[in-house]
Amino acid sequence: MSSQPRKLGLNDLPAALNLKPMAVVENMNIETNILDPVVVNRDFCRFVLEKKGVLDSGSIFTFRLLAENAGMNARVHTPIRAGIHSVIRNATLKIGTKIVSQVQDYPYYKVIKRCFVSQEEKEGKHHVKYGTNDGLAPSTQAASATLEMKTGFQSGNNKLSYGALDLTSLSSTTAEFQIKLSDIFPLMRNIQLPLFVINEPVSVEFTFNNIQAEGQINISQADPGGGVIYRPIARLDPNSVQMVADYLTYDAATMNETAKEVMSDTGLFIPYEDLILTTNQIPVPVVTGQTHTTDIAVSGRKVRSIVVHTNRFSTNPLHGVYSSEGLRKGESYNFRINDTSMYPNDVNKEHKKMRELSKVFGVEIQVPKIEFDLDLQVADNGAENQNIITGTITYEGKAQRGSLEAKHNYIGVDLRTNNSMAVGNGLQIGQKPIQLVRKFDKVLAAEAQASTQRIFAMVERAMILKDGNVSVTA
Amino acid sequence: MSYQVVNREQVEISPLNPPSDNLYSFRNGNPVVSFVIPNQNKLLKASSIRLNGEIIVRNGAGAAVNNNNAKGGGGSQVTMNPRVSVHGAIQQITIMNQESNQTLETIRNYNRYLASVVPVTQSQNDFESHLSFGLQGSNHRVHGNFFNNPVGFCIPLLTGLLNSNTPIPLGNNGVRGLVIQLELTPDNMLLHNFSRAANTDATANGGAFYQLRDLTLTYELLNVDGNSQSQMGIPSSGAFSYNSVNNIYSVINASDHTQTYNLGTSNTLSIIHNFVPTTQINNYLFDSLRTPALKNIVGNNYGEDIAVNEVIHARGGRNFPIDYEIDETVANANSTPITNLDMNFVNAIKPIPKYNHSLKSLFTETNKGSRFNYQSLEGMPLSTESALFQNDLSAAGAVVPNNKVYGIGVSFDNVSKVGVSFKDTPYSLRIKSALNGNSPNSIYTYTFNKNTLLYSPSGVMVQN
Repeated sequence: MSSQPRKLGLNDLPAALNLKPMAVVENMNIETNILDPVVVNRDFCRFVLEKKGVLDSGSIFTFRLLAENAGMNARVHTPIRAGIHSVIRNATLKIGTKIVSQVQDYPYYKVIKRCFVSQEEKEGKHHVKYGTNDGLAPSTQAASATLEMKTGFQSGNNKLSYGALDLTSLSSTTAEFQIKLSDIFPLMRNIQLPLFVINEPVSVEFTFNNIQAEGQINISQADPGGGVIYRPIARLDPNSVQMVADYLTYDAATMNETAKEVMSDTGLFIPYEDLILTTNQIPVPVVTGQTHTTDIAVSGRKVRSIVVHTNRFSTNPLHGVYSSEGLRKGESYNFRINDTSMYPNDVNKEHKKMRELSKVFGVEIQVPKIEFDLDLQVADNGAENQNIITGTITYEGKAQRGSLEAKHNYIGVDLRTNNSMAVGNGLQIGQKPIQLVRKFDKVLAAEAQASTQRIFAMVERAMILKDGNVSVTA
Repeated sequence: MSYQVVNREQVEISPLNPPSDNLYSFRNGNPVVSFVIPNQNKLLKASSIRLNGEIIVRNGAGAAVNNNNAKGGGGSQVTMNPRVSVHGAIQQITIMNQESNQTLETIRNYNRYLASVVPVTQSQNDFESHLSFGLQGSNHRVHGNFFNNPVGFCIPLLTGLLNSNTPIPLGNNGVRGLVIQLELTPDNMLLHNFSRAANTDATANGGAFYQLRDLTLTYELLNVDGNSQSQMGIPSSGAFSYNSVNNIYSVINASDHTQTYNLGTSNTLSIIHNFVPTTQINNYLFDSLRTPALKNIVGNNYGEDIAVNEVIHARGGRNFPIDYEIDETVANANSTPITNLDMNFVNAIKPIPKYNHSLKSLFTETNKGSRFNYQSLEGMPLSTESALFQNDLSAAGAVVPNNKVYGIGVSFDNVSKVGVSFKDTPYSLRIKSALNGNSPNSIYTYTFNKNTLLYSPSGVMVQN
């Protein structure tokens, strides 16, 4: 008899673990526990889950940030697109000592993903839930020959919309934000963990951004009043870190179905997605041209997609360290995959770049063109000869033009072998790593700066749950 | 026939007929762009097709325009309709099979078709985000700045065939390759003066013009397994159905007007009509791609919108599919929304249960300002807006705004999606309105129907 697990897709999982409506309506018991971490400080925390029921992927973590050194009018809030996500640097999901999923530089991936959330959702939902403030759209200021960007909460010029979401120095008055488990781990977007049949303890660990430099988790506005300059900072309140865990229990037949699979000869095979991060530095491009090649460490894996964040300037006044800047002209790129170029011609136009990025997420991009690239402002020779955003307009006290234009410029490539978004159709990579080849043909002197490149590869992995013991593929 | 897809392939092709200077333009005699997707044993994911390129707008003397004087130093101010934008540069799309040039679909006046379809199916937020990469804009005045520099675009081709969800077999056991031919729009249809106050900018020196360069077509091919590949390569008999859009042009002038059309289609799903004053087409002084209501000439100008009080759709002389006249007399008299007329129009483009994004609203239909409309809620006097945004003037010189997403339409079969036959039976549209008989308004009519492509070893045939 074979002891190899059956190769199943997500649709073959027991109904209790699959995130889709059940065929039959059943009674379900939801037990919500508010968990305190077993270890917590401003750098790290660990939660250990109880061995009961099925862990709902909608379970959440709560966080509060406290302002320090805030003066009368000195304000501090989170980076406008990263929001509370900026507080988590790395996140790890473990079963026993095995790392099942690990997300590094989590907020950098999150700002890319949030470009595909509708403006309505950003304004109405994420604003209060995550402390983000990026439901920006060109305004109706038809009287002006240029435009201002504003959210639905604003009217007129130079408005502030954080208001009640400004951070304060007191736990009782500062805003509390929350992040869903499935927001953090791609694994939890498709499945729910059957805790009741897992022998070893399941734990979630966070490494926090506890860097006080402007732009990590702080966007501050100094108060120059009274001769003293207050420059506020934000720090995590460790007492606020909690997990609201929902344990689901279905009727006996449904739970037994899962248990039976786990206890079978083959065990339960659970395919899932995970992120692999490759980080490197691109040296200062020379003005006349340079090619930069990066090996992406995904040899032997099944890769679904790749997205690239490129931070050229250390801190943006509104996005903090999470901006990814576009160049005026002259950059092109291609991927070499299994010794073949992904595109017949290098991608050298911003509109094609946007299109390739959109394919990764399967929906249309939800940021205005002026936040993605500088095409409208730039003549053939690369000179910026007109403005689209009004120069005098601010947002949260910071100049809009310099802070917003072309600050969400990402590279993306969709490698799924068919159009389904379900796990199981990633592209098999051979022994040679994927190579990202970027060519900087005509970089202007003003843009010739070193940059940090973060490459997120979404890969397919599998977890095998047999007799209560877990093993995972690489 | 179902095929086992193994992987996807990204393809980018250049036109067959590149001009020597790589600049396609109507004015300089290169108004046709042809692409060939060759016969191969693969499936075409037609909805992935995008036309990529850059557009340059120049004044009659050949200088780049400078709308809003955004670049400083003055210069000509010439722009285009923000809702259709660069899509408007395509006047006609013809899709043929490569082997015998059998026409699979032709949409004439493609840009006028999009003038209705895009705002009905896309919301303000869509215009402000992903549609801005097709150079569609959310603010008419700032939209002018989009064309002050050569700027790239990436747009889908919104034909019926290319937006059917079924992948198209390109091999011998399928369409045997595709030819996509784009005909460019005349300059004075796409472009118009940015400002009425300075109304010579577009017309001076022989008229403003646009050029397209670096045109490519990108798309995805689905590679199938070896067994399926060999099946695709062997000519055999088969069929697949696809949606198609057809256009008919006519003119209305009388207050009680019945227009009869021989559609010649056997699976007709729906029909829509949009309108524009006839003398404002191909006219640098006016935006030819707007969709106003019917208008009367008062004095020398087309002025206020006039009321359409009754509409009857008929098949073979009998009211169909609505067996009563759509009567908006009371709504028009009370200036309330013409809901029955509007909802049938929308339903003809997108079924109401699926209608979830739209620019069309009471803001547009009652000419109120919104973030998209030419009028602004934020303080610009209406008279200034009129000067800037091509509004009409009444006989007394009063401003008549033109923001509507206006049209008349009806769906013949929202349930079975099989459609209704107009093969041997004419369709007629009767409009009772306040037209004065001296004001020709053009009607652009578009039908949506199902075609069937039949292929056999002897060739390819289209049945409609």
